[in-house]
Amino acid sequence: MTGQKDTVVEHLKKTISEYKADITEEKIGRVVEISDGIVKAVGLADVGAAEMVEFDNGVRGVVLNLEEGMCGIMVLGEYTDIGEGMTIKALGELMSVPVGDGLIGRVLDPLGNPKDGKGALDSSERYPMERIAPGVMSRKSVHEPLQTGLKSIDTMVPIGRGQRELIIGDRQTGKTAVAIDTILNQKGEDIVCIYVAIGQKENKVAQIVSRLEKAGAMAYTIVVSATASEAAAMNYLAPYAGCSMGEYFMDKGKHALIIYDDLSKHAVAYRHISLILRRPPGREAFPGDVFYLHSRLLERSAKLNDKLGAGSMTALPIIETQGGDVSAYVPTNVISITDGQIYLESDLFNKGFRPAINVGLSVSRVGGAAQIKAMKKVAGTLRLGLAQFRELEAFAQFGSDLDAATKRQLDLGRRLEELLKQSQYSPVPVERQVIQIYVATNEMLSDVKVEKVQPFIAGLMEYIENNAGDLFTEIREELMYDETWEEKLKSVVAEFASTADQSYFIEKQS
Amino acid sequence: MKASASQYAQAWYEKLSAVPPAEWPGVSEKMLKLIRQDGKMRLLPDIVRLVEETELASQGVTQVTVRSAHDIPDEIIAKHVKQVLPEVKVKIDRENDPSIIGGIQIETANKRWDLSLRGQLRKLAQLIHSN
Repeated sequence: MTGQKDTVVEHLKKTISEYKADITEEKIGRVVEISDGIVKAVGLADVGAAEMVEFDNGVRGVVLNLEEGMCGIMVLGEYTDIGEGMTIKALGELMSVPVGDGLIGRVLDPLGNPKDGKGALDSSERYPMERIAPGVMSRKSVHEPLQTGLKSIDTMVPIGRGQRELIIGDRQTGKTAVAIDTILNQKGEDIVCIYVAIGQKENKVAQIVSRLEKAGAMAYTIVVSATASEAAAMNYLAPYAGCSMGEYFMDKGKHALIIYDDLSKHAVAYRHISLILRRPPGREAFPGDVFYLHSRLLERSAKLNDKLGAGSMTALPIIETQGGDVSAYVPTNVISITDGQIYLESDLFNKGFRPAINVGLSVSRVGGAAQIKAMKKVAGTLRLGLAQFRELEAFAQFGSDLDAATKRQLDLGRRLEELLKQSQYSPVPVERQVIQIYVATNEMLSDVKVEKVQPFIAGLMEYIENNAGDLFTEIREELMYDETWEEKLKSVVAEFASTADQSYFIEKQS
Repeated sequence: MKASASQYAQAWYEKLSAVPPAEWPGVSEKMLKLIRQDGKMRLLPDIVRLVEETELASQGVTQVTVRSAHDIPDEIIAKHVKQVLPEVKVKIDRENDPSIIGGIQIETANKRWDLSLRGQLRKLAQLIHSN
C-alpha cells in the first residue's frame, strides 16, 4: 500500500513540476435564459453544432441549436446552479464516451461515468457519441444466427447477427423479459451485450442488474442507465452512448447485442428538449426530425464485411404502444426502420401464453437467412400450422361436429401452442429446440395430454441428455440432421414414452 | 415580423444616432413599446448589451472586463490587456471576484484569457484526472 501511495505521490509531483501554465484564448458566451435543462446563450462565436461547452461551475453541456446571435445548449448534469449571466466556455470537442473491454460488467451513465460504485473505469479509448453508420460497401448481409433461447422467436421470427429486430407491445406484456432472456442466452457465445435503460424506474434497472449478476451474465454485459429521475438530456443521450460502446466491439471484429429499452421514452425525452428549444412541433407534438432521431441510431447496427473484421452489432429496440396502437407516430417510424418486429399482445399474456408473441403479426425480414439448416427444416411449417390452427379454433367454437382432419389439426395446434410456452429466465439451447419442434410437428405428442406436454418434453430432454446425448451433439456441430438421426430420435421418443409416467397420456378407449 | 436581438439593437442605435440627444427619450420610449408589443421583453438585456457594443465598435473601442481577486494596480492590468489585445483601443471595466483566488481574467464579448489561479488549478486538475 505504501509503495502504491509513493507511486501516486511521485506521479502527482512529476505532473505538477512539468506543468506549464500557458495563456490560451477561450471562446466564451453568457447564459441569457435557462429552463428545465436547456440554456440559451449569447456569444460563443464560431461554436459548432454538437460541440461541448463548460459552464463556470464545471457542469458541461452540448450545443444543439444555432440561431442568429444565440445558441441552445442542453445541460449534461445539475442545472439548478446555472444562472443568468454565467459564463460558458466552448471546449472545441464533440461528445464522446469511453469504450473498451474495461466497460464490461459495469453500470454506467450516458456520459460513461460509473454508477455501480466499483471504482474508476479501466478504459483509455473514447468514441464519439454520434457517428455515421457504416456505408453500403462496408456491410455484408446478415447470415449468422443470434439465438434468443425463446422457442417462438428462434423458430418463427429468427434473428441474425447485425439485424435490427423491434420488440413492440403494450405495457406489461413481457418486452423487457424477451430482451433479458436473449442476454442470458448469450452465455459462452462470445457476444458482448449492452442493455440501455431509457427513462426506466431505478428499481426496475436494479432488478435487471441483479438478475443479470445472478445468472452470471454481467460477465459479458454493459448496462447504460438513464432513469426516469434523470434529466431529459441523459435519456436522450443514453442510446447513442450505448451504441458507441457496441461499435467499438463491432469494429474489433467481435459481436455485440444492444437493447434499447425503450425508444418510446427516448422520443418523449427528445420531444421535451425540442419543445423547450422552441423547435416547431409536428404530429403528437414530436419535432420533425424524430424519424431521423431513431433511423440514425438504428442504422449504426450492422454486419460488417470480412475486410472490416466481420464484426456485428445486433439491435433489439423496444417500443411501448398505447392500447395496442401500432399506427402511432413513433411505432410506425421504428417499424419502418427495423428489419422486422416481435409483436407482444396483452390478450395472449393474460391467457397465460408467455412469451405473449403474436406469430401472425411478428416478422423477421432477414433472419431466415441466418437460421441454422436444421431449424429451418423443422420450423418451416410451424408458422403456417399455427395460423391454420388459430383459424380453425375460432371456427370450431361454433360447432362440435368436426371431421377427423380438422380434429387432428386442432390437436396438433393445441400441443404446439403448449410447447411454445416458456417461463422467464429459462432459455432453451437451439439443439433442444430443434428436437422439441421436430417431436411436436411430427405428431409424436398426439397421445400426450395437452396439459402434460411441458412435463413430457422436460422428461424427454433429460432422457436424451442421459441416454442419447449425441442427438444434441449432431445438431450442435453439424447444424443439420439426416434420416439416421430421425430414426434414432423416433426410437428414443418411443423408448421414453414406454417408461414415462402413464398419467401423461390420453387414456385409450377399449 | 419577428426580429432578433441584434436587429432591434441595430435599429435602436441607428434611430438614436439620427436624432439630437434631446429626442432620445422619445425614440427609446417608442422602441420599448415596439419590443413589448412584439413580446420580446426577455431580449431586453441582450439588446442593451448589443447597443453598447455597437456604440463602442463605432468608436473603434473594444469593451474589456478584467476580473481580479484583489486590487491590482491599473498599470499591471493595462500591461496584461496590451499583451493579449495588442493594437486594440479598449475600455476596461474592473470587477472584483474573490472566487478566482488570484491573478486576473480578461474578457471581451466572446473571448476570455484566463490568467487566474482558479483557472490554472482547474487545468492542472484536468491534466491529473486525464492521466
